[in-house]
Amino acid sequence: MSALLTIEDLAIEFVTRRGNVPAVRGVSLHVTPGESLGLVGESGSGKSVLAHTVMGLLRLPGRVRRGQVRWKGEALSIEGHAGNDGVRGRQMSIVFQDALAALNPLLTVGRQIEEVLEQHRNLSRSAARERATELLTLVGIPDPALRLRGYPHEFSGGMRQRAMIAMALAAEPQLLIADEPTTALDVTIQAQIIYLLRDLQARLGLAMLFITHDLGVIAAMCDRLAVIYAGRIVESGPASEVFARPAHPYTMGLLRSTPRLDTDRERLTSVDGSPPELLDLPVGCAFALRCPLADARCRAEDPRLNDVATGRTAACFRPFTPAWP
Amino acid sequence: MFPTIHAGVAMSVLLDVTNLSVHFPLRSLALWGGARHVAHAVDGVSLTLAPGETLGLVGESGSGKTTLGRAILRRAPITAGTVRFRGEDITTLSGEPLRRLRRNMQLVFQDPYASLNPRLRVRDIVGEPLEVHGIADRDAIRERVSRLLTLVGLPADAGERFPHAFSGGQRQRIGLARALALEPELIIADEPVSALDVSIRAQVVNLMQDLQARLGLSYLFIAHDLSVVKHLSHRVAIMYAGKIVEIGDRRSVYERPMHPYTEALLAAVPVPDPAVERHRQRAPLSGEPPSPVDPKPGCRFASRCPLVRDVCRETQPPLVEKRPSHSVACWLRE
Amino acid sequence: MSVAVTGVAPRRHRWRWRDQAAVIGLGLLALLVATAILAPELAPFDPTAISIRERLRPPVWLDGGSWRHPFGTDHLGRDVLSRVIFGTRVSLIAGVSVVAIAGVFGTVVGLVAGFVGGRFDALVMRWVEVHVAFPGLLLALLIIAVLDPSLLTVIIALSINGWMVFARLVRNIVLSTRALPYVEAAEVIGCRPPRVIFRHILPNLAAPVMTLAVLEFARVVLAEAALSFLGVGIQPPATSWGLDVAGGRNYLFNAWWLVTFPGLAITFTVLGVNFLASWLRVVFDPHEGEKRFARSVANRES
Repeated sequence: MSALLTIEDLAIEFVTRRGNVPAVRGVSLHVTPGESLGLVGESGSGKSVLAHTVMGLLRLPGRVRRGQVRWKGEALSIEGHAGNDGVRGRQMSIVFQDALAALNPLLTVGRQIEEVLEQHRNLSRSAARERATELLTLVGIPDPALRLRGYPHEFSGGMRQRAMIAMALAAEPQLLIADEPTTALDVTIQAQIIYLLRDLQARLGLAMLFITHDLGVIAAMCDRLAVIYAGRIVESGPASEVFARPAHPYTMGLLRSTPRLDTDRERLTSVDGSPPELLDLPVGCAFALRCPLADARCRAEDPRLNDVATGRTAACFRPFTPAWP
Repeated sequence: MFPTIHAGVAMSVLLDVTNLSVHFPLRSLALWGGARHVAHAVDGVSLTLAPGETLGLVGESGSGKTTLGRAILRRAPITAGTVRFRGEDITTLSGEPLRRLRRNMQLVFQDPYASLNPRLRVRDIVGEPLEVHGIADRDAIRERVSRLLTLVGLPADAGERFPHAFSGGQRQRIGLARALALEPELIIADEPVSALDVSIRAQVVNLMQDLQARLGLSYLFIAHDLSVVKHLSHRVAIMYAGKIVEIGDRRSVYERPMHPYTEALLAAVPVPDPAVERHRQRAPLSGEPPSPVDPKPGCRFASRCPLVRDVCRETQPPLVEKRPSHSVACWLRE
Repeated sequence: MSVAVTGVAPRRHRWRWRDQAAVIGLGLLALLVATAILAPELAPFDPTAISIRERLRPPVWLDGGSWRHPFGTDHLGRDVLSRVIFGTRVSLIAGVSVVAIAGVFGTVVGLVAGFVGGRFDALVMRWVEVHVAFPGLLLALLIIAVLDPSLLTVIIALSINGWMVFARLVRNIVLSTRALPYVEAAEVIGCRPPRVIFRHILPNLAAPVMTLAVLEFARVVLAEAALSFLGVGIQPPATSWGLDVAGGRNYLFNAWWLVTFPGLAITFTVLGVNFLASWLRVVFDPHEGEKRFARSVANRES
């Protein structure tokens, strides 16, 4: 199936006084219609920068070094203000972690949704109002007609996130990018949002790029996942296979250190050390310093992302070797 | 330091909190008049903690878990109830005796960035408790600081550097070293790993377990979900809207939860395994926690409870021991 | 200019000196200070020396001007250059004293209000609000009417008008800093209040108070000139830029230099101070600094 969104060898750096920080170092990804791709990484891994760049939101000090973002094969502009290209905001839209900061505090939630509808779907004002009510119902906000007249600060965290999802869905996009949409929420509210997104995806046939640090959320949401570490994809593949048999030691470490409620371990496996300083990356594999398997080759040579099984890639010289007892 | 041991309290109890309430009167927005509203942040909470024990205190935002921790540390105004530490009533302690109490009770913060003064060197941050309590002279402090840094797994030269040179996980180790400097018996850890990355989180949790084993510490470990707590708690307490709804031995609470809210919390944490997740068809708990301001009578969870009955809306269920060392506040278990 | 400085400045500060506005601002202020200190050396004449024969001479580059009086002379034949040079002293003394008095008093009040809180804080802050709402110039005129005009009176009047902004700024910073976890940590480990204030809270005040002080300095220079212009500030035979502007306004159409040179002195002083203040903002705010740096790199490369 041809991809909706294709990212090709994208490299992004941040200009700082200490030097140019390579935040994303040659990432290639694609999302096909209707599929849900999870992008997992820890803070500083480059996952959010990637999402912002795809949406045309990258601003100085961040800038694109090389690479391309394509929508159905057509290259999208990625430098500076992407503007109204008919794709962003319409065929793909984004949900942010911090809904309060992403919504305009001076406009009612209804007005903001209606604006999207008027701009992207050419609806009249009254038709937009009607559709906005439907959208709030769709995302499970009770009393939609009343809530449309409310301002973002009058909404609770969970309701705000629902309103932002409604806004993102207003233009009837084919791809929804979700950048840590549940991280700031309480667990029971997070469960509600995951449930909602899963339901919407099934009902609307939406493709999704789901960005998170939480493997549990990926397991609940995604068909396929890509693991990003220090600005590079280190592993990708179908979620069920990667969880069952991770190929990259970092993925194994992440899985082992995620606390689980369904097993009875007294102690968590921990991955020693911390992610490398992006300004001072090691010569070889970026994970070598923390990897129990690392040998001289790993420290001298940076492994490329290779196919390791059908539909699966990993950037490791010894994929599938158990790294932790 | 605490010459009088309260009669009748066995020494197996380090911390004894009875019927503790923290109510904040809200300032009225009206210029004059206007009804007085009161936020019930913590409402009649009782719990105990034994030496060397970890009690996991779990609740979502607004549940009052942080306020409860601060009240035990005597940093939130206590409206009613008592806090006893090693048998001594510390509810109304103030001035110099309260300052001395700090040697026995310490706090570890959630935010590894904001909790260290960016202008001080790590050795001054970790050494400050020793300095202000006049415990050791300059050389002895230096010596003890380097031992503390080693204890929490930091390199020997860490003391000479400023906090910004360290990652989140390392900063949390510095925060632990500062808390341990006074050799306290109780550490209140307010979501100490919530702000850390997953791979780092396990390092800090494991370190805290090791420190407990070596130093016999007691932890009140505050968390917003049940996942991390499971790995290091001996007992677990679940808070909802200012009240403890369930408290008991870890195994019992996790394996046979009695309160519907505990069940919902357990169901809410996604398991990192698609095979498990795909088959979970439980609908999530709907609704949101009630406002802590002027709470209605009845069970606080009634507005969200899937099993709610008439009695739940009328009368507050008491916290009752239903199984050995496992109590719940729910009319369904009556 | 920047080369001389980079030798001493730490490496990571180097680029800041390329910020030309800051260099201009610092240069102007350095000139101001030097002029004030060296006034007797620099001024060719006694600023109060009257010479009726040489009245209303134009500046050197106009017909009838000479190097004897580069900026010309006023209606009493006094040398304008010498008056501008000596006027620097008044502006500097007024600016520095008022900022020092108002800054220290306001900071102490703000610290206490922020730390003690409660009723005292409420009372002080209401007072500050009322005081700020009251027209400053009017209050200054009232004070001067009671105390007789002089440099000292100007300083007192402007100080009474200037401490509130410091108090309010400091109090707000104390309140927000107190809520920081590391300040709570200091209290939890058992630091006594003075230690908490001086070691953990006070250092956060340095940058914003300094920036405010620089801006207040500019405001005071203008206010002193305004009061002197109105005739209630510096009294003749002493000199002040504001006084000279006032004295020269009657000759605006046939001797424009009487108003222009003291006016320019005021303008450049305020301009220099504002350049310095905006530079301080960058120095104290790493985010702002990073943003400017990224922009400059991007511009250079494109």
